[in-house]
Amino acid sequence: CLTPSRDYHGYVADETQPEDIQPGEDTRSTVLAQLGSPSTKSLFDDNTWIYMSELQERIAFYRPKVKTRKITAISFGTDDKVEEILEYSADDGQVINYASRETPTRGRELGLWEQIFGTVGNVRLPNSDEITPDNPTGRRR
Amino acid sequence: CQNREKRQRELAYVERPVEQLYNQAGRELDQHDYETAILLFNEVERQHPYSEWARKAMVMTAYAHYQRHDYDETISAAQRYISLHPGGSEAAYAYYLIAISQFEQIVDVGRDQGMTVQTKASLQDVLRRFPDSKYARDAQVKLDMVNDQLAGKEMEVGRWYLRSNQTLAAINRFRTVVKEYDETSHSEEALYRLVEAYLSLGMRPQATEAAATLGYNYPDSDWYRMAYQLMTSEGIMMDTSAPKRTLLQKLIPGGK
Amino acid sequence: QEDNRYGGTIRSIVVQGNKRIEARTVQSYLLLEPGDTFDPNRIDLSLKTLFATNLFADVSIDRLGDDLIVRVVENPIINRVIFEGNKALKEDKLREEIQAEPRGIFTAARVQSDVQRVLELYRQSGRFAAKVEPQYKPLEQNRVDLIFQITEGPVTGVRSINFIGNEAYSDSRLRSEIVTKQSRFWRFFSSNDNYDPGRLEYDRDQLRQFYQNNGYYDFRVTSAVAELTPDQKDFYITMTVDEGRQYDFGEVKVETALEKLNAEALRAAVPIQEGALFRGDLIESTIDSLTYAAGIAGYAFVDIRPQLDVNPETGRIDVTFVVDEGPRVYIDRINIVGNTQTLDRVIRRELRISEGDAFNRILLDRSKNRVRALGYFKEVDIEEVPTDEPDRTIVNVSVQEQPTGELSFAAGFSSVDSYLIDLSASQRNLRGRGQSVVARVSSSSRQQVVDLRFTEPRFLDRNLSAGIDVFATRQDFGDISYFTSDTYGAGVRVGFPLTERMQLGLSYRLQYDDIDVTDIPLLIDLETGQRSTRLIQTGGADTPDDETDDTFRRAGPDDVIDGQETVLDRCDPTYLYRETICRSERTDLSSIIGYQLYWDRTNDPITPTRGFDVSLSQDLAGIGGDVHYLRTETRASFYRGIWKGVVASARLSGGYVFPLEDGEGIRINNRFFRGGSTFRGFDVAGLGPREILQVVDPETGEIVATRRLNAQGGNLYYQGTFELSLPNVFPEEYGIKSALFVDAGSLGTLRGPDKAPTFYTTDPITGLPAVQLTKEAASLRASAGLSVFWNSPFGPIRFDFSQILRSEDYDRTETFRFSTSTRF
Repeated sequence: CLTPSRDYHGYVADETQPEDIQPGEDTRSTVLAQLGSPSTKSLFDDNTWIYMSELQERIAFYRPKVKTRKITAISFGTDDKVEEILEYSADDGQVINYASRETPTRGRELGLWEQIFGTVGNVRLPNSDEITPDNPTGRRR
Repeated sequence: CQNREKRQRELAYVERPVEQLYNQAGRELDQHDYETAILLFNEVERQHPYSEWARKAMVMTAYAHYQRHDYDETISAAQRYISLHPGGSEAAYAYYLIAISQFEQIVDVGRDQGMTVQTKASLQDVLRRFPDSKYARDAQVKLDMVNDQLAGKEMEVGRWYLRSNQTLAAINRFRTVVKEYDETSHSEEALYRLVEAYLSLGMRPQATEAAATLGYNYPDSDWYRMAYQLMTSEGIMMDTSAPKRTLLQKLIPGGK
Repeated sequence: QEDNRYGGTIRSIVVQGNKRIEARTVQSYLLLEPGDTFDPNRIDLSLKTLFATNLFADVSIDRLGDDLIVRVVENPIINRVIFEGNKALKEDKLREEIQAEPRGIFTAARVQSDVQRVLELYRQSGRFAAKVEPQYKPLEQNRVDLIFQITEGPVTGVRSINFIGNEAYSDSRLRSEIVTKQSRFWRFFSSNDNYDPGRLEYDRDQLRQFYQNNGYYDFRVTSAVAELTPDQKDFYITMTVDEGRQYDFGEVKVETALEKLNAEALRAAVPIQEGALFRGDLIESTIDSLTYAAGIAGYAFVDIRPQLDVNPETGRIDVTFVVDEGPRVYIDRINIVGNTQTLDRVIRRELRISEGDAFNRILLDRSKNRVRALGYFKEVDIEEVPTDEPDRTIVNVSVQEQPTGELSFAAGFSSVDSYLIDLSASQRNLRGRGQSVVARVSSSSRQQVVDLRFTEPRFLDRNLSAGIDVFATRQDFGDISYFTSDTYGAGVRVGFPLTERMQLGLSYRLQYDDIDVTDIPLLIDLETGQRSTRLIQTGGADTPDDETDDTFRRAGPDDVIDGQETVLDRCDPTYLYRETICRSERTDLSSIIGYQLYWDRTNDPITPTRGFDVSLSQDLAGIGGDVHYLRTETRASFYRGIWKGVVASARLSGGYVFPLEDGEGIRINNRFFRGGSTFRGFDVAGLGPREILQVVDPETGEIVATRRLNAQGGNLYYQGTFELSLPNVFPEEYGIKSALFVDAGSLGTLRGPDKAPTFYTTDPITGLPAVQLTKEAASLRASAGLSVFWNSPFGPIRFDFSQILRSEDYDRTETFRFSTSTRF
């Protein structure tokens, strides 16, 4: 009965799908007109536009699992025409265990006392004890 | 302590020649009795508003507040000086005091970096208005630290997205670090994380590009060593003769 | 002459009249330097900039030969700012509002704006007749003291509010809809009865919404006039309204150009029936449900516009919802702002959207609710900030932190305990990581409690909450059940969502219980082995009119013992007639695993007004340990908002425990106890199975008195609670809510071995013969009354006023209970 909850992430295709783009014909502006701005671009030269959409499923406490993923990398030549289109799907994915090392940062950490008492809002009445044999700590159910 | 305050106030109200008043305030300052110093400097301003001393006293009040770590007071005193004497001789110091007061209140990357952004603006103020003042050098050092902190915040969020399987969001965060904070200490790790992210999507060309850039700009960094191992373990040959893409290339317009 | 004034170049610039401001500063504002030509508009611009600095009262620029003369008159410096005549508003409140401050620059314009600000402040606090007179006392060296002479005048209240043109609803009904109230003496706390034009605007809108939600589509407030009463103390407010006619819904259609969506399916999602009374808010909720339906069908960008065509003759409004492609917008970045304590990821992990996703209003609202449900923030709001790219937007989640730590300390005496010390600290957002920790140490003559709990809501960064509990208690239930129990225990628990609305929790608890019955030495008659029936007269000789005025007491252990008797503890194994309570005297280890299933279909996590939630929990003791039972509890609550501020709710709950080994009983500390705040009208453990002593008059054989002995708890309980929340009488900010309630249910049934045999004894007080027996009938008990919840500065407090409708004579009832319900 465990129906996983589904989350759609990233690009949502309209009528034209990213893979309908014609290499050699479409240019940067026609791609932008048909597909809208890309999910991300290549690192430096913005010559490759990447459209990525993903469907993930979350069940109970398991990490969200990628059900389907569609990546289209459209790279443009020097004449701004579409030079090459590469497709990737979920099966191309690799499981990478990400490095745990982190570059240190500065900034004043919250002092211990400040955290414990900094957020003490108000002094409260102790909870009225309704202690019964089956509830020795009188904790509210 | 009631009478101590009253005593200080009486002490201050005695009319005295400005120089004597100013010097006594200076002495109080040296003995770290900032409260009395502030009272006396205020007196200098009140009794002799037109003297050069008054202008200096205004800045010294701000400095005294700063020593008491009372940053809000420091900033408002400095801002009052700037509004009265925008071209004054101490203007540079006033702008500098504002920037370092904000700098002291920067919190760790896990929390709202609002103060960091304000500090960056004030430091840039100091550098733009008084490029050759004696405060410019320290302002530049602090500006680099502030940028490093902002980059750290981007990385913190980027790493969280990466670990929560939101790879696209992570990639964009790391790209921001590489493009906008490339002089900070985080750009190496950002490039490495891009290698990890692209590999997890199976996008080898992009992974190679990131790794090559990392190798070219930071050849002996640990991050490059880890990237190299990661790439080779994924069966991608890292021919170090790959087209070099330097960070600086990016700065030259049209540099491919 | 015109041209020579502007020909030639400037040899030098001379600044005159400046005292405080350095000439260099004045020159830095000029747009001319020596060597430039006398350019007229540059001169004019310099004049404007100098004035704009607010430093100068007057500036003039002339030419003298080839020199440019800049003559300035500096604005004086403010020495002191004094307020006179302010009573209602304190000085520091006024100082915050105005710009003028000691050692600041004095300009006429700034003083005028300060006067307006102070007047505005007084107007908001309802004093319209207030006057503010600024005065300047010039001092030497161009300094000035600024004095604000304030005459506050009376509070202008609202003498009366009446409406013209309203047939459908009475004046008083309309008055209840708007915020401004008529000034009455008992409204001394609220400021709503002060006249405030801003609030009047808000009232016009409230009226329009009220009418439009009741079918009056063309309703308009034609005028809202406030005239001052002759004595200038109050205002008469008259609102003329044009109601127009009442409309019903005509034909309701959904049109869409998007193929994947079919109009009929969407029509089903529209909650409007044809012919029903027209309601404005239904249009809004329809747009939401249509957006949601389109969202599910994969249309993230959808733009829904209602087209209403109104037909005054037929009195019907046809509504067509046009569904078409909305702007395709993606989320470029999500910034978390304002989190001074809570870590960024603790908030970000609650969001249902991430960067790069399509902009989806429904997911945004759900994310906002989830962040709100954390309970760490006073306010949470989400705003969109456009970027330079048209189809990308930035989402700012701005939060306002509120204290999440609570510290409570109490020391005192009470009738029950001779002394009481209670120290508890809780933090719901430890180190800003969302972890919660509760530590409570309490000690009194009756009990000592140590209760530590720690919960990490996102264990291993997964959607998995994990917690550890450690507790140790020593209880002396003298008044409830005549035994003391020591309990030491520790438990671990995890919880995770099965679906978006269903949570499952698993728990394991290891508990060591040591129960011993309070020792009472008894005098035992050696022959019969029973309690000696020897009586000792305690006092009060026979008086003429009442010869039975003797008071007796049964001989006790410290009375003289002759050969015939001996002293034994009442639970001593050798005493054959020891009470069954002694059976509970034992030490045992229970190893309990359990699960809790919670299904939440309410519309709001904090104050539900629609929907229901169900919880089921079962604890199985017996994997190891000496105790074997299965304990089940379930609860279902239904909520239905009736109208503004009134919510009806019904809660059905029940529980059943049975031993897993036949012939075994259920220890007293594993049975259910009801009463106190769980069953209003009854004392803690006030209802349910109880041992009683029925004193019998030997001659007539009737029962003279019943003495309540200890409560036994029960193996089965069921209860129904029906509550009707009352619209709050007090203004919102007091946080006082009240509700009428009816509690009905029962607690009963004991297992065979747990039931004490009936036996005859003598009443210790009157010496008459008595029967000690156990009443365990699960008969219906019911109570009704009023509960008042107060969100006091010292934490939530609840007052229950109850009236018993049905109860057993041996139950302990109460009519008033004060409990500080905690949110631990």
